[in-house]
Amino acid sequence: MSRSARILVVEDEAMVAMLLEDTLNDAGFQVLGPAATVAEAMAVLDAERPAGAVLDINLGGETSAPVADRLAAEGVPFLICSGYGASGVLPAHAARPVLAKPYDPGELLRTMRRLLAG
Amino acid sequence: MDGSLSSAVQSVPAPVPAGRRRRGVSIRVHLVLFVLLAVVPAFALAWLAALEGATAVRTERLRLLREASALVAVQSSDGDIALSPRASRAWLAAIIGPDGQVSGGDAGFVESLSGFFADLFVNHPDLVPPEGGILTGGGPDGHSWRFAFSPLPGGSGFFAVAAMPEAAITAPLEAHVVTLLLSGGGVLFGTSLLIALHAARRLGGPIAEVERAARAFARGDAAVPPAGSGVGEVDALAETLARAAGERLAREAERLAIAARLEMVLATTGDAVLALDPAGKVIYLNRQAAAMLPAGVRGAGRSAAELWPAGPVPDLVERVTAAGGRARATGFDPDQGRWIEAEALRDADGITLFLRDVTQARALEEALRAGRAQLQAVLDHLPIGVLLVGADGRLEFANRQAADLLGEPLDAGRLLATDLRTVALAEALAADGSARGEVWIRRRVGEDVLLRFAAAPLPASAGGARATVVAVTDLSEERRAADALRESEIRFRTLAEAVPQIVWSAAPEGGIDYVNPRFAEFTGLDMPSEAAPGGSATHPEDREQARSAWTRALASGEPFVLEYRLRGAAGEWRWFSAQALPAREPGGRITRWIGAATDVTDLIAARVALENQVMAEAAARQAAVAAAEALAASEERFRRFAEASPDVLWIADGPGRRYDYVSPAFERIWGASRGDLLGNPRLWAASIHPDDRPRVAVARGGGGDAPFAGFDCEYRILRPDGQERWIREIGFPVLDAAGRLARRGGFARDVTAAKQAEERQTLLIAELNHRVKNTLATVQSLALQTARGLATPSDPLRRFLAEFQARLLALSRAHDILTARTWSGAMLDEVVAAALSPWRPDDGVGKPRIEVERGPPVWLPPKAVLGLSLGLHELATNALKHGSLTVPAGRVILGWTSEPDQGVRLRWVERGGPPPKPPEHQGFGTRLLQRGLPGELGPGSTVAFTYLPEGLEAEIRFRAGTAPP
Repeated sequence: MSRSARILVVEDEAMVAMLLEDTLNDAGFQVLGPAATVAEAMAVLDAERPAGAVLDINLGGETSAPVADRLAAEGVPFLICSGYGASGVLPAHAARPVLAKPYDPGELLRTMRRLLAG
Repeated sequence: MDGSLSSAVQSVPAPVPAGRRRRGVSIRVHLVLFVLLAVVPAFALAWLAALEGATAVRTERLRLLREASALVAVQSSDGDIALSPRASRAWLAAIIGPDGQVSGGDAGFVESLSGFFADLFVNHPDLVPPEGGILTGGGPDGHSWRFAFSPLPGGSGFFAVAAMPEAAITAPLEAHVVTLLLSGGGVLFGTSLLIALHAARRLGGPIAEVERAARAFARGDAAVPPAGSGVGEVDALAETLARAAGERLAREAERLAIAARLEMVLATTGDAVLALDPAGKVIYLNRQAAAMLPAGVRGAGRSAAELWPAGPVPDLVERVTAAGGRARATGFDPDQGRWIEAEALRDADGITLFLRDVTQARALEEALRAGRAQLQAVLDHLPIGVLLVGADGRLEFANRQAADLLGEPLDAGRLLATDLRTVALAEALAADGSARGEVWIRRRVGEDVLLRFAAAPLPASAGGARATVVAVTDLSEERRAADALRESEIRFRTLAEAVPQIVWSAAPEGGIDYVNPRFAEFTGLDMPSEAAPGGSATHPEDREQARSAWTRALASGEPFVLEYRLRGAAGEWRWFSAQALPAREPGGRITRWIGAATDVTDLIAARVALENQVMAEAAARQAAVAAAEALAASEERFRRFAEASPDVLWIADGPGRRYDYVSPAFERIWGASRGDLLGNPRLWAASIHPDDRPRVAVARGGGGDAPFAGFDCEYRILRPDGQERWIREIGFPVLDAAGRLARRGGFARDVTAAKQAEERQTLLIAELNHRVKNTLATVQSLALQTARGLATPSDPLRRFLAEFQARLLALSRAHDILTARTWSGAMLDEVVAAALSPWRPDDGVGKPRIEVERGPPVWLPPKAVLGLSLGLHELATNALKHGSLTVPAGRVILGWTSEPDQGVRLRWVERGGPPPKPPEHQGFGTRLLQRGLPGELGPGSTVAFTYLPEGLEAEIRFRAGTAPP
């Protein structure tokens, strides 16, 4: 596990994105994004392949399903954050770890590390 | 004349009874006696005389023969011919040669007969018997002689001849005959004389007497022949004569009596009777006929036509004179000013004419005919059928209404039992003379008819036969109406029990006489009277309004329409939209009120958001009104309701294989034609969304052999145009009177709009929850970011951040639970598991430090869920910081039990840690537990802490909530 692993953050709530960014940065990750829309996320993914990703499902009117599909296709591990809790998960990605908002930053890091470890 | 005849009849002596007159011995007996007395002796004498004569002749002949034989026997054998000597000289003998020459014999004889024999042998040789015999011929003395020839033996041609005069033979016989004749004649004469005397004495007298009597009888006198003549035949003749005389007298008396009676009849009869000769002249007329003549006119000897020239008489007399026989005519005679009925009878003696004054009879008849016509007119206009039936079962009269009722012409004279289709009526009338009853008549045309009949015998007429008058009325309409009412009532009940609304019916004055099971199911009240608007289940705020509206509707007959709240069995209030309509009979009078109440709580709740649904429900409400109308009215009206209903109403056969009826809404909702469905019932199942199809097939089909008991299910359909619709369908069995499944019925409603609204609502709640969670996350972020901004993070700040975040997360978890249940509440064990989840072992298999001993299921309202989640979080945090969980061996046991009156006792018991101390100052956790939590858990809740040396014990008591259904 590289200390400088790049994590894609897809989150439309600015405050939450900031918290995520700080948490990941403090833990030694490098944050890509945060992307607030699917287009932004896709742009980031076009540019480079992250080591992992944190996806908010609901991006102000659209869902991050296309991003999740692409990440899954490219083999990038990711976890899902959702205000819906367990019930709002995309059916195609039901096996991915889910954190219900608001979540404990420590738990987020633990989950991410576990994902990256493999 | 009468008198004399009568006395003559009386003077005839009674005929002598047979047997008293002694009858004499029959004349045959007399004759037999005569024969015995006279003829038999004469016969006996004659017989004796004849016997004597015959004996004498035979004796003489024997003697002569002996002599002749002796004559022959003397021929010698030497051929000499000689006559043998003989005793009697009665015979003369001679030998005669072949040429008739007498060669020997008695001298006298030879001489006297030589000529005779010569003549015989020479001239008449053929007379000589060659073999011997006897000849008769004239002897020499001129008398007749007999000659016996015997050829001598040896064929010499010589004959020995013996001759004897004829007289010598017959003389003895003549002597006997003379004696016989003399004695027989004497006897016969004497006998005849006796007969004559006897007959004269025994027969002549009586016969003469009888003859005299017969003459007297012929003259007509009452001659009586003498009795006891002694001769049977005479006596019988006399007796017959006497009887004939008696009978003749009796007949004469009878004839006279009849004549007298005829005279009397003619005198006393009401008719005028005239006897006319063949020319038409009157030879006799009775008193009545005379009375019909003008005064001073004498009828006898004048022609009848002349006497009554203007009336019917002249024509009639002319007619019978020409044609003979009998004729009758009626006419008005202006001379007399009367109607005359005349009858003429023509026979060999002339014409008998009968005249009758029928003026009065005609007037009566006319009046009767007019009366009858009036009666007929009256009877024909009666609303009931009237029949007059004779004692013989024949129809004497029937009015028009009766013919209409029985459906065939009722001609008089027809037999009720066989000529008409009224056998049943005839039997009912004959059965026990029943005066009234009901009977089905099979009509020739049209439907059978149920008749009520009332029969009454008429007073017996002069003939003694009693006719019966029968009044009949048609009960069929009444009966059919009653059947239809019953049918309609059953249909109403069946439909009323099936519909999801509360349905009730009330008498015109408002008394509830029926309410369907929905009412009891909802309110838990099984008193039908409570179903009336404003009953005890009505919300107190709505009660007065409901009562007065109901009273107003009853008084005015206007439909009742109102929304009000009803209390459910569990105590909840729900809004109902109620309608009631009066059912009226054709005259307009209200017979019944039919009401329906629909639960519209959900509608009211979603009214603004679900405008379409409201529209649909409004239509459904109208449909409910229509349903009430349809229920109160006939099937035709039910059908109209079905046609107008926004829901699909269908009726299928018992097995559910064929649709009998599908309402037009099918075409609107399904987008397919009803004809297609009726032609292919599988279309319905085929339209169901493939994902729902197996489930719905089980629900709708009734499942295997189980009897069909109805269903209520929701499913999607795919229309031919590709649209998807949500359908709620309720099916129910329609039972016949015997409780067997006769049909299936159902309603299918398009609930797509409601479904969409429901989904939208779910989405809204999810979105709201999402936003709340995002907000919590934002708050969390803000707190952390704020702390981050400080130059030097201190321990207290880090502790604040950790505690704040932990509490925030506990709150968030409680939210998750509530969101999953759309904020209706949650179960206690769910709340405990969520609140304590941070302290679960990471691997999930190790023994948890906080053990949960799950108690009975307890439902918590949302507020209690939030409060208890935070409270448990504080207890756990406290145990970890200060309590038993500060040491590895310490643990916590959490459990709960139920208390009376829905109470719950939750216990938090810490063990294995250091002895607890009460906190020195009240921190947030303590305040939350002791002050905040009881408020959140509801009235009567308590939170108590006990600091035991072995560990802290907390006890939380509260009242459980009521879980939604």
